[in-house]
Amino acid sequence: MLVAFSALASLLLIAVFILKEGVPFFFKYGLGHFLFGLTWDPQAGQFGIYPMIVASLWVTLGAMAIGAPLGIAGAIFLNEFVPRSVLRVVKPTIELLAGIPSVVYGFLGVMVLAPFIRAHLGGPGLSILAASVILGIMVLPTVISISTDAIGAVPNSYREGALALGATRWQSVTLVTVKAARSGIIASIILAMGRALGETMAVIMVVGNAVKVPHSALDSARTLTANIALEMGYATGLHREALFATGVVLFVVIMLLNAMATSAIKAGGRRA
Amino acid sequence: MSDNQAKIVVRDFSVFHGKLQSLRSLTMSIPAHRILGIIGPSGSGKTTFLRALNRLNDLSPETRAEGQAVLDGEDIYHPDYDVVRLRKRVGMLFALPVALPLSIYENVVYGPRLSGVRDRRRLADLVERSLKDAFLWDEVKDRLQTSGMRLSGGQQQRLCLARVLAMEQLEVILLDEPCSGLDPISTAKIEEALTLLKAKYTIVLVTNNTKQAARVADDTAFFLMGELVEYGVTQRLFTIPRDARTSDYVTGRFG
Repeated sequence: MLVAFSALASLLLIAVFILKEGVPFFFKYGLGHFLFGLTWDPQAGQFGIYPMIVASLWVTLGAMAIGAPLGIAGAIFLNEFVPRSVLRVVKPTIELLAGIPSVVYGFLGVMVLAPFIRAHLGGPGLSILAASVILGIMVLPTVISISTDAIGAVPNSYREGALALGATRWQSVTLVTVKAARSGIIASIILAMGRALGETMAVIMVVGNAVKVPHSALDSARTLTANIALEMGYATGLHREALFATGVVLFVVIMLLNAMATSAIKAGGRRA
Repeated sequence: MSDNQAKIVVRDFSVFHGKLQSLRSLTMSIPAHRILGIIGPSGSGKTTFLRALNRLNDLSPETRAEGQAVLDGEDIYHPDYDVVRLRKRVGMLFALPVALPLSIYENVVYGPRLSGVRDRRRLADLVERSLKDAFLWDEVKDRLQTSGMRLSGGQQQRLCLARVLAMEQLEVILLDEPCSGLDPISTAKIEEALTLLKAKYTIVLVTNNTKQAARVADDTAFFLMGELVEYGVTQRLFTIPRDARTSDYVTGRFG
């Protein structure tokens, strides 16, 4: 009881604190200027986060484009085409991936991925593509773990029902199992999106952090999270408030994503 | 038994679940265009036999079959036999209705779509004919796009029957205690549907309800502990059973 409430209380405290520090900035600077301004130059009093919003969206979408299909395919494979005993070993191993510190993923990106991109695709290497790949790998445990549970919860009778009607193994998976597990799979993707959007350390290390609107996946860019983490150490006054306001924007987006995940899960619960 | 040609013949047919033998060298022939009722206490191998006939037992790795099961002269356990085609010809209705998480319409056209039927008119015709044959059309014709899972249990079971009937290559219908959880009205509708359907199909009905077998089955087989005890025309089997165990079972002395 006490623990549950302290968790709730700390969530409330965080929300109140960020809002208190960040929201006044919206009025001082103007919400439109802040969200759609193209220039971020704290020395000159310019606080436009549009380039970073674009970068965050691209990195997140890129991560999902890589992580979601791989994760869902992995979950299907583990549930439908592999003996239970293998699933029991492999699934915890995959979940272990979630425990690797994000700095370590960052190392991997800096030492392996960025040079590879620079050598084979051009550009500075430290880029949106590099961040997307790293994040795509980082969200795999989330997608696989939740999707596997959702697919595993599909009653065996559905599979038999489909097979008894002359479905091949693959048809029964794509037409029945995945449809029945749809809400869980969607929830896993939305939670993974929240994770990708909020990830900071690994992204700072591989995304290059140049404040400009990116024009290709090979461009270097700076995400919202990276912006806060990079500048918070020395920011004062209005600059500091602008960073908190950036936090508010992130907070709102992630809350929205979580609400979507919850409603997707609920919708599935009603259908079943 | 009838003069009809045998649709399915099993010879020395046994099924094992791991070390447990659940069917003991069964030999029988199932004539076409009749309803065969299979009765017997639970654990007697009725369901195992039914699932063996469209090879659903294949799904559990520890289950294996021995002996011969022949459909229209072809051994369905032959390594070259196409299981997917078998299941399109031999449809199965389960004890618990399994409406797929799709609309009523999509539930019915599921089988035909798998076989590659794309033509909308043909699919719509199939839906209407199958739902009529399953005695469900009048109850759902105005809401074909709603989820099949919203229907009552009895309606879902008839939807499942319609789904089986929509398969164009269908020749044999296997029913595994299809009415065990249903209300009397739905049960009566399914029984009525079956008696009309035997003109087109061969029907095998496993039931725990001996009265149901007496009502709808042309022939009845009595299974006990994985063995076929007695098999004959229903009327005869119920009135003058040849085996004392059959007599005990149909008069309700055990089971």
